[in-house]
Amino acid sequence: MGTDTAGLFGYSNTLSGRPGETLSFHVSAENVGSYRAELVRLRHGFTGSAGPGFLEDSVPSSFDGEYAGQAQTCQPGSYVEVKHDGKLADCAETSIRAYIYPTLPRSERSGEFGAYHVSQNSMVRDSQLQTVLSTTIAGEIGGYSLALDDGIPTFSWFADGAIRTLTLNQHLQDHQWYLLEVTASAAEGAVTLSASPVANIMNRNAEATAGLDSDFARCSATQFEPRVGDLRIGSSARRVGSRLLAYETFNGKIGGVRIDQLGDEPSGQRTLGDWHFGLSPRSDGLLLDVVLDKSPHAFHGTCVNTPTRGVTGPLFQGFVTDFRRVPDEYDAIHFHDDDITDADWPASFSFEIPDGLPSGVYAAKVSAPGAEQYMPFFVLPSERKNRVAVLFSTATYLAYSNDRIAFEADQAEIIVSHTPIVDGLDLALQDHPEFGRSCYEIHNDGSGVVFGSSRRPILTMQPTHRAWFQHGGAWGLPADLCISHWLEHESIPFDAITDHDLDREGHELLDGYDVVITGAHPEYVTRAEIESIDTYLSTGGRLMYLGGNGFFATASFDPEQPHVMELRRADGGTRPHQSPFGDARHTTSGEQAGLWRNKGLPPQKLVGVGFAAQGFDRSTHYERLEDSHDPMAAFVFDGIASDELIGGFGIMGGGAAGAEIDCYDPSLGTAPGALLLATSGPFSDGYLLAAEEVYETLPGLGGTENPRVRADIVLCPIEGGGAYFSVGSIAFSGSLSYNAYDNNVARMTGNVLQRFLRKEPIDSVM
Amino acid sequence: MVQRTTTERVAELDAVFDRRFNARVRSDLTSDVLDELLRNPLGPHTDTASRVRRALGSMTITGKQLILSLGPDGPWAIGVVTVGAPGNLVVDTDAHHSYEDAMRVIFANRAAQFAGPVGTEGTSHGN
Repeated sequence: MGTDTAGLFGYSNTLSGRPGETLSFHVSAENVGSYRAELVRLRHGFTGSAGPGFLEDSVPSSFDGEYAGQAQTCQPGSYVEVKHDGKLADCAETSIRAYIYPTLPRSERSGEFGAYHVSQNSMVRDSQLQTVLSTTIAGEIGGYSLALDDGIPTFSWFADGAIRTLTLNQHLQDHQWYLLEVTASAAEGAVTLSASPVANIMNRNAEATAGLDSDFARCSATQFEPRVGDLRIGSSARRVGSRLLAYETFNGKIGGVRIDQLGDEPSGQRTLGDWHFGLSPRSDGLLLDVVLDKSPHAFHGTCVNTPTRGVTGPLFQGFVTDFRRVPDEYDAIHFHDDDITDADWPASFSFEIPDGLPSGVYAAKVSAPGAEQYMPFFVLPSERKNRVAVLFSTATYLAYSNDRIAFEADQAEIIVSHTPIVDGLDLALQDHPEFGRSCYEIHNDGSGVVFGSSRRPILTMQPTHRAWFQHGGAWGLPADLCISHWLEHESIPFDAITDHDLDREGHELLDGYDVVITGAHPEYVTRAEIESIDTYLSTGGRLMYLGGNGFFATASFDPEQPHVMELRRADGGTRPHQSPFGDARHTTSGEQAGLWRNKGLPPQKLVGVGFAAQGFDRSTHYERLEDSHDPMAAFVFDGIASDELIGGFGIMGGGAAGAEIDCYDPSLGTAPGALLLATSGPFSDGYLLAAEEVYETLPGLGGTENPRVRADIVLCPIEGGGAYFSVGSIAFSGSLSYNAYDNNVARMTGNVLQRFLRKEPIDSVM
Repeated sequence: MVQRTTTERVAELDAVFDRRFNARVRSDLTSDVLDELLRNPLGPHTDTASRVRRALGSMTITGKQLILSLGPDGPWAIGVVTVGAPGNLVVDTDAHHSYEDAMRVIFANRAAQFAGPVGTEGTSHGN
């Protein structure tokens, strides 16, 4: 959607790089003739006077300069593109088969979806057509298309330059498998179309009570004008410049797609295409972007905008839920008209990271009168230079990317206990639904979003963005900049690393750092990251977990397209939505979705504390506990009085303990030797116990009644010289800068960092 | 008899719940409770005020009020979620010096809508 106002939007091809590597930047300029591009180092994000304010330094770079503005189109909609040698161009003398499971056949959604009761869709469809498969281009002659027209199956083709259609009578029911079959024969002089309900465990209604009938139609036809071009499954095409974009995209699952040539040839020769969406070309069986054609022609397809694979198909039996073991039962792909994982804009400029550019947080900043956009990225060190590394939570940034919940969910206000506070970036995001959704949201068809991507403008990752759910809402990158600016204030140089890098490179990336500091909310991590941090700690590494709700749930990156992050939701624990039965395994890793605590790796085992509760009205302080007076912990509280409350101030809710909070829990793996240094002050009943703690719903889940609703600070020495210090609160980072860093949160954190930088084991009292 | 749809049946159930829910909330929405909410919009609140606050905030998102931050330290404006408007938000021209002030205005508006003029049903939770 465009507006009349000036706008600059963009993204980088990757979120991190090392000196010598080249990043490309992709910019769309709306109502902007030209813009200036420059490199900036991001020092602090939160703009309000409660902190240091927004701080950036201009850094001379090879791409500094003026650029001509050009508007680009970002088109959501996922599909499979099939290139062929012309054999699929003509539908005359063919039969077409597809199984479909429409999830939004009438294009209008009703009801409430997900944890926050999404009832409104701020992305408006402009067509009642949804394409099952097509060779057509909007406005051009030739080709054929099988689609739903306001929920009714229809087949269209061209004859004498005009479009002809054959349409059934009955609307299809949503969440029900159907077999669609088409025959088109000039020799017979006819087209037939049928739709038959298919029994399947995942149909919404029982077969005996659904009241569904088959439907059939036939008409005469002798001409079929071909179009030489790609076949698309799940979408047709519209031409914009030299690009063919998604058009009239399907919402729902499609599987068992096959096109045969009519005639008397041996059966093996008749098949023109026979796509199996459950098969992988990879030895590990992962279902990435390549779709296999089993026919002799091998017209393999490519997924565009990451439709959801690894979903149950028309043959699903319900016994095995690993797509790699029963590929025939997973011959289906779920398409969405709002999927967008690559805007696919041309590069506006590129940047080879020069030797000597210090590791840190940077952005390509583009600006023009009335418009500005930052494209953040992280520069890793070319070789180890600093003793401290900050692990920036890029997976979690992508999970929250372009969050629109405040505008679509009835219960957004209820979960945060106050009216959501939005800002100008949120309004710009509303004007650009094409930039896609966060993994907390609901697709247009009511299913949950399970992919995030950095190859699209992400307005929630702007360094000045404030989250709607926390007044003073520094969240994600802006919150993590609170930590990196504190390090700058302490004159501690650091290297920037990200989830992407740690997942790819493993513990070797951490090896040799004296201290690794997490971001404020490292919620979503991969198994490789957990294993890497565990190895780092067990080999003498020291970790400062300065956040809350960390190491919580399973993420994975596409091994071939790492800008795509996968985050499915299992059927237990805190979750904004839930993948359907059978669909909860990551196709980019083979990993079962869900909370790490439900997979043998609770965060308490790694960092001593784990997610306990969340709330967003007011944060609070910490108060010291008995272990804080243990001589081993004396360094933590150097300069802090024995009865001093810690952190009753801060940007995020007015305290250091708040938002999403973690507690000490030996039953979930907190080490016996971990010292319990402090616990939070009182929380209101706006703070509620995490869902994974609720086996049966009992009254008394709020902060005034439930003893587990708390944030705890833990220090744990580890044999071999390692240690971790965990604060269990997202709001913590927002308290560091209070009173120009002269406060007891900054002091305590600085005490820990300075001690962690000393080689002596933590359990040797000094 | 015209066959009813599942949507109509679910709506009937919602209406039954709303009738009971709204009756309870209207009895709870006393001037003391409203004073408590206005005095301290972010709480903590008494149990009764919390119940009323949740009721006032759980209306459907269409037409609901949000707070728009207009600068790094405010001011703040109130907007109504309206799909199709710029930013999908129709923003009021009044500026408020704190977001808590904006919350007070929203509380007062919703309480008036919820209670309705004396002798009427007012705006329900489900509207």
